[in-house]
Amino acid sequence: MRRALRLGSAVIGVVALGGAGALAATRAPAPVGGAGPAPAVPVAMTSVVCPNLLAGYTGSRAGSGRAVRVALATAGPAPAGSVTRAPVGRTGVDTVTASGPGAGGITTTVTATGTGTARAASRALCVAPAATTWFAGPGTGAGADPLLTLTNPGPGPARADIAVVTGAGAAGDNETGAAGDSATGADLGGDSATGDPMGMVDPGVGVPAGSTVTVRLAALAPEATATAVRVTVREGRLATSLLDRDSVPGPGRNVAAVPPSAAPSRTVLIPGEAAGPGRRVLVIAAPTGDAMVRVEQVGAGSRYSPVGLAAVAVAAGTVTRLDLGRAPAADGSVLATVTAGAPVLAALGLTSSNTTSANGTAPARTWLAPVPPPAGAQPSSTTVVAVPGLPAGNAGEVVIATGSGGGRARLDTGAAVALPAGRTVTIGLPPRYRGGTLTITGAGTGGAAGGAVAQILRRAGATGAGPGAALVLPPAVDAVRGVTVLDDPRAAAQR
Amino acid sequence: MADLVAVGADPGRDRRDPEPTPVAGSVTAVLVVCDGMEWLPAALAALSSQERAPDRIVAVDVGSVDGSGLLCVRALGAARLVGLARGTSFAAAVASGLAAVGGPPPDGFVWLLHDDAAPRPDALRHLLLYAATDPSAAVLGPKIHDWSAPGIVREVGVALDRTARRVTGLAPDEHDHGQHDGPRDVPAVSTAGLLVRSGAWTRLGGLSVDLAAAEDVDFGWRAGRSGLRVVVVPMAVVTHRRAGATGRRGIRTPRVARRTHRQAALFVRLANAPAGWLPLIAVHLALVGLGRTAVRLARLRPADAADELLATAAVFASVRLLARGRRTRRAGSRAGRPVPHRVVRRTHALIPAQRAPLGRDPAARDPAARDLPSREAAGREAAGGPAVEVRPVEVRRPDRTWMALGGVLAVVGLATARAGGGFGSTGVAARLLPAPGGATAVWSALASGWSGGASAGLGGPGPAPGWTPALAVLSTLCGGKPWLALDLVLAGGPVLAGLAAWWAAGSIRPAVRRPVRLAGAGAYGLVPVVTGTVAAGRFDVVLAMVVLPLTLAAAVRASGAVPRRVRAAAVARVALGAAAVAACSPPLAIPLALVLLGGAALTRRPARLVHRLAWVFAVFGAAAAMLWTFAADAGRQPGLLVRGYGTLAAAPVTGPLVAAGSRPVALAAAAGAGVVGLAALVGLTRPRVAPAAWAGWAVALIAAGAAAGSARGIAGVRGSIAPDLALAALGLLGAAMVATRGARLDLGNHAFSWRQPAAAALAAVTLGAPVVLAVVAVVAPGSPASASSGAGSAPWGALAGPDGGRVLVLTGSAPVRYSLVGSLGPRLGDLDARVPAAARAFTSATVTALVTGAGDPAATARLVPLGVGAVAVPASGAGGAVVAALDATPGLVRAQVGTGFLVWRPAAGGPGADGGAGGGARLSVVDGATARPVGADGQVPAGGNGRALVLAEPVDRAWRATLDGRRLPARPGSGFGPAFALPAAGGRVLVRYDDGPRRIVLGAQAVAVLLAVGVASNGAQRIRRRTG
Repeated sequence: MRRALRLGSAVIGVVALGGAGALAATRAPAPVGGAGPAPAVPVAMTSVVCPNLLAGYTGSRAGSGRAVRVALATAGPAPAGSVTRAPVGRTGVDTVTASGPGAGGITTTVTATGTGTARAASRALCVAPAATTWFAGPGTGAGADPLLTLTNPGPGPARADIAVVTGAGAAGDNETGAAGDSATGADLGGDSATGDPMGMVDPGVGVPAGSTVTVRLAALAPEATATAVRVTVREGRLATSLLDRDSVPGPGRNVAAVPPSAAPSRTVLIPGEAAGPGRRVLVIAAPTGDAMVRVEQVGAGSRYSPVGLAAVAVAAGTVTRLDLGRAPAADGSVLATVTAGAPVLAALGLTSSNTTSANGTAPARTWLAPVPPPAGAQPSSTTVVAVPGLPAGNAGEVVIATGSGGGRARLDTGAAVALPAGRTVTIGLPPRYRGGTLTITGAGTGGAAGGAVAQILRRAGATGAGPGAALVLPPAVDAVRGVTVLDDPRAAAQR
Repeated sequence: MADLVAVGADPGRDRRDPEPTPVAGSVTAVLVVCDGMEWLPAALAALSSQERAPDRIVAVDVGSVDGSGLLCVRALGAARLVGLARGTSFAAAVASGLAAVGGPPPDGFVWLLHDDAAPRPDALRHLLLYAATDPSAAVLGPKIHDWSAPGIVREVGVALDRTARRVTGLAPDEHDHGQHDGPRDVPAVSTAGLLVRSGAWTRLGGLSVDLAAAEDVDFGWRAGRSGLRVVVVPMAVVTHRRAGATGRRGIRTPRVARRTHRQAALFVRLANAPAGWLPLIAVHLALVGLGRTAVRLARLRPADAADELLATAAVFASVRLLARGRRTRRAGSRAGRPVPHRVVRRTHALIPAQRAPLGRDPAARDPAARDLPSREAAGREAAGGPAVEVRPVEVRRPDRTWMALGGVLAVVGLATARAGGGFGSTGVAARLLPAPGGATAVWSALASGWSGGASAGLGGPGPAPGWTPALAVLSTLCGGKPWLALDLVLAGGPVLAGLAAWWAAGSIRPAVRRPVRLAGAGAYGLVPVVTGTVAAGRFDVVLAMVVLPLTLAAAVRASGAVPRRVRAAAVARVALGAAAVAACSPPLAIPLALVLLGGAALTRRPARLVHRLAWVFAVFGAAAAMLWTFAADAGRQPGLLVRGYGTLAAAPVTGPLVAAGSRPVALAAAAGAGVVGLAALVGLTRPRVAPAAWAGWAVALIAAGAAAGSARGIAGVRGSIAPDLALAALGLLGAAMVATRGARLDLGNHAFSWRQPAAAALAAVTLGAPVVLAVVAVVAPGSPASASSGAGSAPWGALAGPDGGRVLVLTGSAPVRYSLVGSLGPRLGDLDARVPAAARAFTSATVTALVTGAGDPAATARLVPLGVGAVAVPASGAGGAVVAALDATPGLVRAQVGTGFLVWRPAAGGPGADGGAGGGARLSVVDGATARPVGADGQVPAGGNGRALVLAEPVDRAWRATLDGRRLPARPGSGFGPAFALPAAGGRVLVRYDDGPRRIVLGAQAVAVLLAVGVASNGAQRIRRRTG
């Protein structure tokens, strides 16, 4: 009996020991204490740099009709704090700084009017200095002379590397067609042994404090049907802009700002495929690796892959320019999805003419690309977009491309529409619209994969006029997601 | 004086004896008596029962007051008794005795006897027999046995070593198996039973009357110088009480006896030293005296220390006496041609038995001594006597198995450490964080009272981590190289743990067999929590794991220790061990305390409750005194007792089995634990060993409970369970080891059934477990060395700027981990910096403002009081959001530094910064809106009034600033660091942290540790003897 008792208690002990061990072993380590969700932080200050849309123009700047407009949009009722505008030296570039409550809700645009006859205004978003800026789109063939502008708004010198994905060899291959042509990376004298598929790097473009440096893309990558550009800031702060412009100087010169694109992604949704005359081109770059891309046309009531575009192969370090043909009858969107391979950059070019130039590099009238997602944006069921007002003599509309979820959109004018999933919806802006907010509720509208909003400007009163300018609008970010920080001396010991 | 025939030589009893031989020569025995009533009867009886009785016996009574003289008169007759004054030296008493009987017998022998020495009946016969066979042997001495334990051999010849210590060359309490039974030349023999030829006696002038003790060594030395051989004849045995040397005789207290003997030994060493070497020997002995005094003081024996000092001083004070002694010795040796000192020294080299391998002829091994035996043999041959046979004796060889264990574990340790990242300043030792630059840095971190001081990173008022004293001592011993100390502890972790377990297993009662002990110790050294902890670079936990078995063994021994002095030492040992374990691994503090308390409560040893309570209070009180500041630290943040050092208060801890290494290792560990557990289970079912097995199980269960608590989290705090698992492993292994006790015998009593195969299988698996563990540890080492840091190579100094600024390092994204790094880079101990909550909140808020990308213009301005000159994000681990946020932060500009880091610096001329090149500064002068860094020279130029000296350290009242020696008044600071009002005049500023009270507490703590070490070191000999 005693023996059994002893044995029994021993077994209980072993089981307890094993249980404790098992308990200890199965509980996965998890953060404890202090690592909970951090509260959102209101944006205190934003500072953007507005490019000079008239850079390289001959003639006096006074008559250029250039205007910087600030559109405000806040998710809450709080008005913006102070907004100040300061020129950066004598460069024609302005810095707009908003501080105080609502600073994160502003969308700043720069608009140039009257630069061409019978043209709509050309308009660009002002962007904040960033460490890495991507562009995709313009070619450097005959008649095109894109200009890269590096602006240093800071008090110290800055330095950046410029890498271009392009195809010098393909520049002579001026065959056009839906299948497009390929451009390969060319080394611009940089170190190509880095394993970077971007291939060429122009190391060390220095920009003194408070000044701009312009770089002709044609000088870096001549005779390319399309290019993709990456600007990496090594030192200091730089805002980068790219203008796609005619090489022929003169007052009738076409100028279109190429918007900075979001970093390469597996799904690229570009709204703002404006209806009307003209053709469309889609430029797809695969800067990091081979990619197989499916291109889809997203309309108001349909979504399909045009013939031959269901599987477009893009080799690593190359750019492919696809001619999408005539513009659709109604505003639409283009969706490029990587079905296999590395993430891609994509930009949509809207040309002013129904014809294609001989070498396929006719300047587009406007370029559209997904905006870089604002840092610290919080996932929310409501997205507020600040819609800039219409320049005098222009009409316009807002184009909303929805992602996988539907919802509802309401303009501050009172216009409201339902948003079906995976479609494009257009809301016309009233004449002389002075800017306001577009509020989108429902899932599937935040972020590049979820949905996007674009604004299209057209010459007022001109029937059948093509689009003047179109730009994808970033969502307003009133408050950024809080970040949990942790004092950990080991942080410095990890390399 | 008729010729006598040796009687009683029964060949059957002692086969070595030759046939009874007539032994010629008259023997005069001189018995010196002083207060010997306790042992004199036995001595007289032994004398009277000699097989070959002395021809004449004279007793000398040195003023006995206990009736010893009367006893002698009764036994020997009044005529044979010489009465002398109390206090007369032994030498003088012998001389008087001999004088009373007309001096030594011509062509005879003088036999000296003590009243506390009882010669065996055949003692004199053997001595005379040898004297007859070896005519050149002038002085002969017997083998001395212990009085109360006659099987213990105390002396087979004696000598003085270089430090004038009396050495016998015998192990303590060495049993006499006849291993020393070859007659041989020795430097000296004891006067108890010393037989000397009359001629030699006369030539040497007898014993030196100057000496109160050590006259035997002196006599032997002088004999050697005079070319007379001193031979020990171990066949003759005398049991000796050594009452005089140990102070048991009434005339001297033990202390005085010790002092007298020490003084006499020093005197003998100096008096017989060669003249040329005398100054050096004198200096050496003086230094030895001081050293021994210091050691005794350190061991908290002030009385002994005083005795040592007094004895040394007395010898050097009696220069004239010494000179006279040297003169008489010179004169004595001049009579013949003195034997050179080097020859005498060679003879001295012969005595220690450790040099004479057991049972072998010493001369066969010692080339320096070859001529002496030949001389001896020549003498024997000349006498025509038979050569004395040396009988080889089988003795128990000392246990050296632990060396093999250590060798195997060393290989495993090296392999584990190598797998953990290799060696050197960026190896496994830097797995957690790199070691401080030097031992000085560790000591100053310990003494400053400002935690995190070793790296110039962010610190705060508080003690350095508990392991700092250990690291400080070890790195000092390693020549001021902390990384070397860490490497040694880590690579040697399995060895040290295994050997500690080996030693501790010796205290297990009932005692276990050697293979079992070996397997258990090996298993502990190889248990994956130990090797995993080594691979993880946690030197502090490894240290705790090494000390843990020693502490438990000390506790076991302390509970059984009886004598008061030993008990105090044992208690001190337990307290020291417990304090060391708790200091190195606070999570072990509570389980260990529970184990000790439980042990005291359940083992019922010591028997009386009050003793047990005193034991507990003494152990815990002493440990608390030694750990005071660390305990106070743990009191302020109790989470430390669960979390331990080297983890973050608000951080995910390493997974429970992360410390156990990779999955196969963890599985092997689990399997091993199961097998060992099964063996331990068997122990519970065997009544004879069940109590000990239960004790082991109790330890294991307490530790397992603690481990479960640590893993689940106690009050929201979780910790690594590795230390607890080590304790559990110890308990289980102990229970398993004890289970094997007598198992073979028990199994033999059962008929063959399932029991025997099962036991054999279990034994095979259990014994094989260490082998498997060793293979696993070497072949499938713990976690890969991916987290190994190369932080030592980052140019922190260049990033931090010339003015002692800091670098804010950011990694990860959710959460963003940040670290303020000084120019020295991150250092071990930074994880345990006690940054005040306000300072931490300020820093966190600053970092949050920077990394959220909200564009807060104040964020950059807040970097100035933190002394941040650069914000760095590792290029490989850069979170895109963090980089974007930093790019978007106003006033922060990217800097081009090609170091594998993306670096931002506050814009020159940006908010609040006036420092050139945007570098941060630890100390700056703030004048209105501008801040100017103070360089390393501390020079501040003259300026306007209202300037402030601002320090980039958290505010604390103990910061002191002086300008050219004048103390600067404090003034309200910037919200982070302390500020001091600076006068218009310039000068040299000095800022230091001066926390007097804390320093006093630290000093008291150090004293407590030293006291405990002193007490603990007492009785170490005794413990060794018992466990040896």
